[in-house]
Amino acid sequence: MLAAAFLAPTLLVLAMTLSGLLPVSARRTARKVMAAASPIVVVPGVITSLRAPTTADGAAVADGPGALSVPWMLFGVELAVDYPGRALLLIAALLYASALSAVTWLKLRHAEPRYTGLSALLVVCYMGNIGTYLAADSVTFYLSFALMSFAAAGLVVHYRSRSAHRAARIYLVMSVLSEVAVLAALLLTVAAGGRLVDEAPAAISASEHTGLIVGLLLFGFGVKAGAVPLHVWLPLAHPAAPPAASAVLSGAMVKAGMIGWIRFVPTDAGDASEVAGRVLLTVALLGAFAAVAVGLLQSDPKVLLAYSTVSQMAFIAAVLAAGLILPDLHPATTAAAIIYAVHHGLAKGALFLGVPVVSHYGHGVSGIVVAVGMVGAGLAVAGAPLTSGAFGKYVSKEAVAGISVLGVPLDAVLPLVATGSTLLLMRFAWVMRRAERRSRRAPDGELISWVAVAVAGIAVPWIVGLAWFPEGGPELAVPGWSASTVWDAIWPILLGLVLGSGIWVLHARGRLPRWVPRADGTFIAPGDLVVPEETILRTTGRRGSRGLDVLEAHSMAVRRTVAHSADRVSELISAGLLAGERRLTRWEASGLVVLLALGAVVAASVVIALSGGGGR
Amino acid sequence: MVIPELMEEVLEVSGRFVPLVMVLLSVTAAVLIFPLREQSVRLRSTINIGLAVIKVVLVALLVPPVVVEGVRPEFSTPFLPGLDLVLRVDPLALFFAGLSVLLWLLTTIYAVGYLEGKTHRSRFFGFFSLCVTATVGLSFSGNLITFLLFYELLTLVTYPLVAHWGNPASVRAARLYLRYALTGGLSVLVGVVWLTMHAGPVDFTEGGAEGVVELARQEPMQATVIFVMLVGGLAVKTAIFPLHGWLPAAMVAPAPVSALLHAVAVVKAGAFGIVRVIDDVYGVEAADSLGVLSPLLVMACVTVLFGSYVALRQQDLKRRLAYSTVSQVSYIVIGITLVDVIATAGGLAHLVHQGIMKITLFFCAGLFAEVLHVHQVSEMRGLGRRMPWTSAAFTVGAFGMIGLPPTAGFVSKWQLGQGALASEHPWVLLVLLASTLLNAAYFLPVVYTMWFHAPELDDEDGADGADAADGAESADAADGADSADDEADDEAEVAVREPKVLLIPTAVTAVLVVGVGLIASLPLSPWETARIIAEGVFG
Repeated sequence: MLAAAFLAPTLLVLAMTLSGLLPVSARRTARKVMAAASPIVVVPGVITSLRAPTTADGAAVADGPGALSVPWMLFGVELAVDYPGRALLLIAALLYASALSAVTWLKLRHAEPRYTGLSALLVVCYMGNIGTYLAADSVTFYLSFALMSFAAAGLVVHYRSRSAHRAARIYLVMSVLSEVAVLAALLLTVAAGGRLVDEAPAAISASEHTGLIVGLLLFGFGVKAGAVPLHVWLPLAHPAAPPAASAVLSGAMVKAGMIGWIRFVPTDAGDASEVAGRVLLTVALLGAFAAVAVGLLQSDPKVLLAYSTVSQMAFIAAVLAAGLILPDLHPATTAAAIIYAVHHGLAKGALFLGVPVVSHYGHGVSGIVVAVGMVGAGLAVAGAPLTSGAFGKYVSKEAVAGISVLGVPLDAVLPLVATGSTLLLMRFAWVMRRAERRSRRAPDGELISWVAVAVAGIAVPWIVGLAWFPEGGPELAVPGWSASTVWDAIWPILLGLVLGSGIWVLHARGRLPRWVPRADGTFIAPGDLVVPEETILRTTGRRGSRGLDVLEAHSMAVRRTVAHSADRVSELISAGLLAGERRLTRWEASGLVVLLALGAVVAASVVIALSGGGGR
Repeated sequence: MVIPELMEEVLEVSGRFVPLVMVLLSVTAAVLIFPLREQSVRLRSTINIGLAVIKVVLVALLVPPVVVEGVRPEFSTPFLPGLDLVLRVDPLALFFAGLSVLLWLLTTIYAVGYLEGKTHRSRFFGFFSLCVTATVGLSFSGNLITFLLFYELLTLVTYPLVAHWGNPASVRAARLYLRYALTGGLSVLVGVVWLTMHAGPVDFTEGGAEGVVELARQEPMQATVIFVMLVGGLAVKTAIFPLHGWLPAAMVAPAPVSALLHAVAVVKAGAFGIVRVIDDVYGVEAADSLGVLSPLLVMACVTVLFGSYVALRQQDLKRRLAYSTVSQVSYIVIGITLVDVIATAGGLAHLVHQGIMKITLFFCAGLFAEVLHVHQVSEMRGLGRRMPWTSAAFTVGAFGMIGLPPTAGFVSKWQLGQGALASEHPWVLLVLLASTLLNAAYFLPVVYTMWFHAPELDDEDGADGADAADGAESADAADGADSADDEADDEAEVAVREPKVLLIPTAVTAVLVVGVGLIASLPLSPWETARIIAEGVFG
């Protein structure tokens, strides 16, 4: 079944490609049929995730249906389903199936342009994405990571608009940097004996280059996970893609960066781990709050959601960082990060999928359902009691107890992220409420998939966090019903509501001070840091290439001069030779002279060939 | 398994003639083709492709006995007093011969399609066959003299191929090539003669020829100078900076010739020669103790970065590919000079991997130029929709060049990286990574433009079949950016016919690029074979 989880998508993509051999009309039909059938490819993945056994402490069971070894492929492909892999696989399968049905189960006039190609790209991303979760050897991990990253560029640029091209360009630049960093880190890891993912952290901490490898890993996966200041591509790319693709980008793909950190960064590397933890914690807290501030100033709902993702991923990064600083916390923080990721994947997926749903179904009776679902998903992201978010936040808060930042305990800082989320989501609700409603549609794949993800978001995180949780794993705290627990979940949200309402009231009465920037995406453009970066790059690029042009002109001039003088020399020599030959015929020359002449010709041609060279 | 057993018996009885037959088969093709009339296309193609298929089959049959069982069929005949011509089949020979005969078959098919309706085809295919003769001879050469002979032959017979179009640019490029190659050949000649004077006839031996190792020990100065002459000469064909000038110029040749030049014949002959000189003439240890490998490594690294950087600045597709070759071929030299078994294997594997990747790219460039007259990178907008199969093949080749898994390029780059880390020069990893970045910088924009920009449809380049380009579509492409309206349905209208004869070889090599990477750990895959050879080199 594990093999089928990868084979099914491979075969579908192959079939879709090969259908290009058919005549035009048959090809179109075949591609439409295959695109409509595409959500099925996740079925083996779902079954694997539901049935694969794990050991008491959450590891994969060797020789079981949850492990697969393909020794002839690449450098020996190893796959294994452990607890984190299993949990994330399920979420990915659900999200991708929803995205695929949202894209393909539509009336043709409602469908995206080129939706068959879009569905093929989604399937490729799915393969890569679940590969990062399930890879048990470093090379397979890298293969999956690269496959996902590059296929996702096609999702980002799907609409081919100017902004989509810009987003895709920035995405690709950041992805290539990330790929190269990860490649370097994994090359060093494997050279140190960490071919298998299981053995990688130990190999890294035993290696001579621990600091370097950890730095490369933080950078490489940080780009993917949207860690500040490497997040710049995310607020551009996620909104540029079609909503269904945004859902998997924000819900599943950013988690590939997280799983990279979990799988490879060692906790027992002493100083290196602690420094890594401190750095990660600092940028994470910075990102968690800065993203809210920048996000509040945006007016595009999908940009808002993207900044929310940056903030939420920073939350996860902070939790993981705690495990690096205090290795004792590591098992608990990892488990918390996984549970949080499961929750966030579904909730954020529902919100992204909901953006077009609101505009298509957000009026009349269906409007009530849509409103309930969206508010529910929003509350989950904020962490209201009873929601999966409350579970995720509670588990995380418990896991990081004992770490403090600048004298403030981390578990007191993290709830404030929920305040930020509340503000962002209030702004999102405000923007969505005023968003234009399109003509009503009959229920189709778009609505169904949104409902499916929203419903899954209610139940699945609890199943993954409670029923699947390995017995031998770290002790997992479940939020109870004591007043203090409920209050802990509620106060950050209330604080956010109070703040948000305050701002709104001021705005409505026109009392908002003049110096406060307006929230229309102009004060700080989406992508924030990337805007000045682009300008700097463009300027230096232009100057640099002008400088290089000058350099090249000079070097060409030198080459021409050399080639020209070599030509002159050879002309003189051959003129001399001709004169010599005339004399020779008169003088009955000796063999020696001929030989000498020949030698000169050879020497001359050496000079000519070597210097005359590429000049012309 | 009957066939391998049969093959063994055949080898026992007539083993020594096998390499000779391989060489003669190619000569036969040339002899038969030259006198053919221009119009006898079918006969010429049949001879060409038939003999090429026979060679592929023969090489394939030789693999199990030679690589697995260790049989070494050998043919020798006196040449000069005290010097024999020796043809021998060893794994490295078979490795290179396998690459050349396979790609030759595909290129022949491609060339038949490419030159359809053009002039001087008998001359072209005649020299084409002579060229493969030289390459096969090179690969089976058992000693330096034989190698030299075929090496010089290769120079001479590729000249008419480069100059094939006969226009001033081609002739100039061909003459430039000849100057470079002959000078390099001269240097090799002097080196071989000098070495033979001191060390006697130099037989290729794993771990170094006896006399040469002895010479390196007793007269290190002389051995070093000879090494510099040999490798310096070979470096011309390998296009190592600053001896690469001829290669980008030679891209004016017909597409199949460029494909061969860059993938198998000329640059690879140089690289193969360097492998032979380092591994089988001097032996890695002796060469290492002479201290000649590190400078060569540095030069190869400089070439890798220089080639990539210059490629980045080219706007002409074929020139960009040519500089990419300059860069990629030096990977092989890096692998050989790192003095590490994994790195050597990686370098050797790249000999084959680079070949199939680069030939794919040149096939595609030829297709673009033939079908839509696209030569510049800037003209490649929307090719993904106009020529989907070619574009797909190009994408695969480009990803291979960048070294993305699971392509063949990834396999060699990964192992070169592992080898670099295990060697005394871990800094080479930085060069490899920088080159990866540069490769991405000059290939990804091309791929991106092909797939994600709307095609520019003007009547001029649409002449070959895309006349269905309606006004609305053109206007849409003209104002460029915001064309989110439904384009899926006019896909068929902008697509042009991609000639099958050209497309099939391209598709085969593209599939190989991925296939060879995917099956890297299967016995007798290029990577596994390269590893066996490298293990032989290091004893």
